[in-house]
Amino acid sequence: MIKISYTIGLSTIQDLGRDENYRHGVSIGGAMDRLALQMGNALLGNAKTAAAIEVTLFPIKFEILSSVNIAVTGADCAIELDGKQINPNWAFHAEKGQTLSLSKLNSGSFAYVHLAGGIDVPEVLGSRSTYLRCAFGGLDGRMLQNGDVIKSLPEADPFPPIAPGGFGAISPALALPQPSHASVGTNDAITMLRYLPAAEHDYFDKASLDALVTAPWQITPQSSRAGYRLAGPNLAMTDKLEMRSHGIVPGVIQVPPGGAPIIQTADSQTSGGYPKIGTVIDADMWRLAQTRIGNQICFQKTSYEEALAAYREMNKFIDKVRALSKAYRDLLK
Amino acid sequence: MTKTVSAKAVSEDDVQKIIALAKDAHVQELSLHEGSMHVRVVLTREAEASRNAPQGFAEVNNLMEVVAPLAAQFLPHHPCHPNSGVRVGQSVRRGDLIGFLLSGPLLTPLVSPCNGVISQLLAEPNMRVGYGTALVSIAKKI
Repeated sequence: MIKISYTIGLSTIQDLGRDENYRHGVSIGGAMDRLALQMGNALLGNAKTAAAIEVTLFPIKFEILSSVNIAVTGADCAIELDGKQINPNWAFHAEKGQTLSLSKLNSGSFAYVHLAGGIDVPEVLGSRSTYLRCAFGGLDGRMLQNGDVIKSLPEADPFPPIAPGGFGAISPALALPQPSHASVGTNDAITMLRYLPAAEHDYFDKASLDALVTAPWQITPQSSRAGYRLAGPNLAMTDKLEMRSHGIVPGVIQVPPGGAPIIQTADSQTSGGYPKIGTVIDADMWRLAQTRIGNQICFQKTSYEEALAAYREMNKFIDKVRALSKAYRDLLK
Repeated sequence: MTKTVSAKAVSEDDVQKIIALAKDAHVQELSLHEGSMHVRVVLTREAEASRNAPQGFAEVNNLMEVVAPLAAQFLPHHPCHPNSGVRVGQSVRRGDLIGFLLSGPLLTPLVSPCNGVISQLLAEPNMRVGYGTALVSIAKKI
């Protein structure tokens, strides 16, 4: 059990989201960086779908109300337990009375604080994720506030306190390096996103299709958990296209009439009427989530086969973290 | 001493238990056969040292040597923070992180067992090290 002792807002409880009610217009939601969420659960031996605290604004501080094993994953930020530095993507034991703080961001956007067993809030429509727009899920459907007490569920496979020093995993950015980009090459300062052409891809003019894959795009402040609006060359269509609203999913790159694309993210609406030029592949959505507002991204066209291969590679990484974490925890028992 | 071990059941834990049993029984060498499998365990001085250091360290000539508790790649600093990591001459306190072992994607810590000063880095950065390999020596502060 932990208490939020200091927050400036926007942090919420998230899991892998809810996709059973998409047909009823309920967003999938869930963690912006689903890979980081799964990694924390893997380190602690939690269920794959267990919920964690998604930290959006820093600093945030927690008072430990009862001893608990914790993992912090996602953004590389300054993590301290009673002033002692903790590594990124790390599992450790915290004693009652200690203070856990997450502050200065080195890289990334979203950090995840996991408790052994997963966070105990009621499931709503099959998920513990907070959906702020509709004010349900998570803790009373709202962002976390000072004084909130967060409880954990009983562990399926109870584990004693993690030994001093803790343990962790290498960051996904090291384990799954982004491929080289045809125009940008290998440049870690620019996030490379692979996309599959979407239904209206071929309705865009040649200059726009070229610009999509050659230009660096900047993530604008008009971005949120629902979507990232980009700044760059304006994308135009060869002819005006009349479209009815249709289903969209996280990853879809919509192009409104102004020509500035929007990438749908976790809290994406379920339908939209703008033309879709592409869809960012699932295996790269965590890279987008961890790219900060003001930073640049670039697009590279890929194939369905490559998208599946990247997805499998990502899952293989998580499976390895889970299996080796279990072996190490068993070794410590 | 005769012990039958199923090939499927042999894990690193089992090997460590076998080493412990062998040492307690003053046995220097064990051969295990099953079908086409043949495992030969020779109790070396390093294995004895690690057996005596279940916490991952051993005291040698008034220096505390931190040894690898598992086979892995030795990293003197966290991969995300290449400018961190301990240096020779640096003071450390009991419980401080003094390096990492990388095994697949898993990072496990090397923790200082005592207050003292880093005397020597005994393994090269990124080197593959075996179970019981001495990695860092610390001059104990008395």
